[in-house]
Amino acid sequence: MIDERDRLELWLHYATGTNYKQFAAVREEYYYLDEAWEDVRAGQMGRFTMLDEEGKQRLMEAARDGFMDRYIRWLDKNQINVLTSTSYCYPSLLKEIHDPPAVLFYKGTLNEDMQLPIAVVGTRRCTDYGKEVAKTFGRELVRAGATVVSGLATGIDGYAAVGALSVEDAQDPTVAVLGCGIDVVYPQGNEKLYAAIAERGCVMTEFLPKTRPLPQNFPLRNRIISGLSLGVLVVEAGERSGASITAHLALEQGREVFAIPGRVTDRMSIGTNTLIRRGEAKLVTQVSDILEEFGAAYTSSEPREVNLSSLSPLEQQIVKALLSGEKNDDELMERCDTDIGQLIYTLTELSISGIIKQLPGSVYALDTLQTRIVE
Amino acid sequence: MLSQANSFGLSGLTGFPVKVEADISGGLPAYETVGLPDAAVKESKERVRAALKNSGFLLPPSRITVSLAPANVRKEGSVYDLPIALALLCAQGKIKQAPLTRAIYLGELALNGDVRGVNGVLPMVISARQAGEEVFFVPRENAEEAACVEGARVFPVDNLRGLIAFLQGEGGMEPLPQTVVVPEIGENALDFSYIKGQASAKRAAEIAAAGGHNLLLAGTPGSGKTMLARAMPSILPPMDMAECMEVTKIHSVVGHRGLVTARPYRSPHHGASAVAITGGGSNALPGEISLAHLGVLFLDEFPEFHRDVLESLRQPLEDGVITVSRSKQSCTYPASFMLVAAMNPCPCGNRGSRTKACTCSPAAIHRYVRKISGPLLDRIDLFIEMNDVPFEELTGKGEGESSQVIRQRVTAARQRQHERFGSDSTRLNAQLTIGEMDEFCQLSKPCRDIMERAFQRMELSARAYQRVRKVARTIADLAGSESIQEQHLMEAIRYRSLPILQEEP
Repeated sequence: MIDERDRLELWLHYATGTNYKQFAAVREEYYYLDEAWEDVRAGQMGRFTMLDEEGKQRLMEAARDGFMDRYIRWLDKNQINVLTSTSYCYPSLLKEIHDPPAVLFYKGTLNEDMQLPIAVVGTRRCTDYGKEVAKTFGRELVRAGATVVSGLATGIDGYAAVGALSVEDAQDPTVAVLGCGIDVVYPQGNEKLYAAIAERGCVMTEFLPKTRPLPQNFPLRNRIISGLSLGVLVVEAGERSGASITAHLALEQGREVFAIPGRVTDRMSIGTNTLIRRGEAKLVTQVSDILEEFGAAYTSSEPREVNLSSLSPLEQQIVKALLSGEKNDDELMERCDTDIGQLIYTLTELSISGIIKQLPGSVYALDTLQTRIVE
Repeated sequence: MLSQANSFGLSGLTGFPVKVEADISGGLPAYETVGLPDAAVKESKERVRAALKNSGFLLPPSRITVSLAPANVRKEGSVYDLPIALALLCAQGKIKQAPLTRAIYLGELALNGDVRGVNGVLPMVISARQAGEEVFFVPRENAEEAACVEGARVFPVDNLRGLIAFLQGEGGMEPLPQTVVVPEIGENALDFSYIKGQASAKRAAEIAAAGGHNLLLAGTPGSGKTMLARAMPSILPPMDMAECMEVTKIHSVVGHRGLVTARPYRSPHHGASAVAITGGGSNALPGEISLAHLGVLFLDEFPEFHRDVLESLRQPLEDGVITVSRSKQSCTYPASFMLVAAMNPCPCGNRGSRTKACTCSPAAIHRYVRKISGPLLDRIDLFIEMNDVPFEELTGKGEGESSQVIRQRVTAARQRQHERFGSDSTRLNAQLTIGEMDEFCQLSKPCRDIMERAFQRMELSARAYQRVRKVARTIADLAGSESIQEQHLMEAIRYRSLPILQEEP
């Protein structure tokens, strides 16, 4: 699986880590890496002027007898796959960026040509609105045949992956890119989601195993997220958010950027609204807004139409009350002539048929992403 | 000279006879108490000596031995002061032996000879009655609770001097007539009509009361969770006589005087230890869950309770009893209570509010909600979220239904359950076993279809299935329906879906 050339790249990556410049400089100096290996083995470090002392030390350390064998055996044992930049199945889109990761560690299956990879990113501190949008877009993108790329963080990234995984028959629905070693699950408590993505999609990182999730890792991780994707959808972003950084990286890499608009009073929509205002991102209200940019046909489920007259009188009263905005059950009691037991079971009935949804605080709203009311 | 007086001891809720023997003999003056006395019993020596002196009797400067039999069981508390004093007087020949062995004497002595109340009189008198005892001399403070035991002739004792005079044949004491227990609705319980709005939460409370279900209330601070919980006892039917006695027994052990006639309402603070909640301590006393027996246990700020406290609730919630085991003894206390738990929707409390913004990260919310384990949530049948009440509604005029109206419906629904379960009259829908559910909570074909759709759409867990059926049964009982109809089931499903509890990353 890991041939001699991969092995040498892995060796160089071990020494240079995520410093792509150093990696590229060594590659430029040595067209054939085995010459570099021979030099290091012989202790001749003269040509490695681009490396600092520490880099040279690591290079020599990793060239010692048996070190690489142990390293590769360990990766094998932990079922960690390796992809180097020279490998033929290295993701083609990622290869185009100016600083592609030299080595990718991954679990699961990685397609070199992912189907319409779209990154869905956003703040970790998302609102219920962001959560719902992320889940719905994650799901609908996959239904339309796209692959959802995200960062396996809490908040928007996680919900997008959850939405993507909820499409049961989809193949490789989602890819998660980590800001830490492949064997580190961050944030804690995400183990289930990590396992689910590794099983049905792919979890990848360029960081060496056991790397801790340091703050400086995440911008590096973000360039991979946008690099893997044709477009980046920002669902919610605060004023100075990592998601906005990803959006700008995507613009530098020549990728499309999309943003979900939010209320002007929402702190978690400042970033997305700013992207839209500056013309950096396209305003998106439905999945087809994204797909049309890539000429992909959107065949997935549009909101189902429900005729108001097909509902029972009480249901009609409820739906009409909700047309003017969300209401809690006390407010619905005031607007409908019924008793509380009847109101509650009618609300359940409407939720089960996907016409309304229940929000925190005993608040109900029309589920406009699933159904549209026609009068 | 040798003498003996009868008394009683308590282990858990069961009493055991204690014989207090006193011997006064020649030798160097000394006073020994034997028979595994605890510190309070040992100190009785000083109380007895002073009380006797101040009642006009002196202890002779001789060798005095007081023995509490059986000698291998630990004796606790101040309950033996009175029998010890009497046995000592008898040993000196001041009173006769016969009356001391024909009655049970309980009570603590004050230094001036007054008799003070003690803990656990009711369970002791009940056990003594079962053992065939008839006559009891108890402190006046405890007389009311003791006199409600059928067939017990209870003499209230005010002070040592009066009792001695009576025992010397001078009369002056009369047994109390049997106390009539009048069960009542909790006096300090709030009336439901005081709670404005919150129609769905009130409805959930009514269902919980009717079926004996446990209830979890979620809502922003100030939305009225505590108020609703405080009002719960007011819609429960009053206890019957036997239930009053059972509850009084438990409360008597921890020092409550008099009868408990209203359903208990206990609301321990979230800093409470597991021992305070389940019972324990060196002498294995009942905890809050036993004190809430047949009443309401309200746990405010539910996720803030210590993890071990929450987990320790699981077994009693299932069994209705708790066995407190300590190195020296193990006691079983009843703990069949209705749990009303309340929680904020998130650490900052504003989630779901339309007037204030929530500042919690999803991870913080997740951690907060995860503090309540799945198995514990599994034992709570109804989840309901309170509405964020606007100010004008709090002060609004709108009158809700009074507790009395709701209580009538609850009582009728409970009556229907009693008829169904037959002889075992304390059973409610919440305690149905799986086998009984197949008999009493059958679902028709359309109902099963609803269940299936609901589980898919609303992401309910498989565990929720049985709970939904039980609650649907109670809703049908409230509606007076023989079988579970579709609308009952759909309403029950609503009480299982709490958006804030959905488990996600």
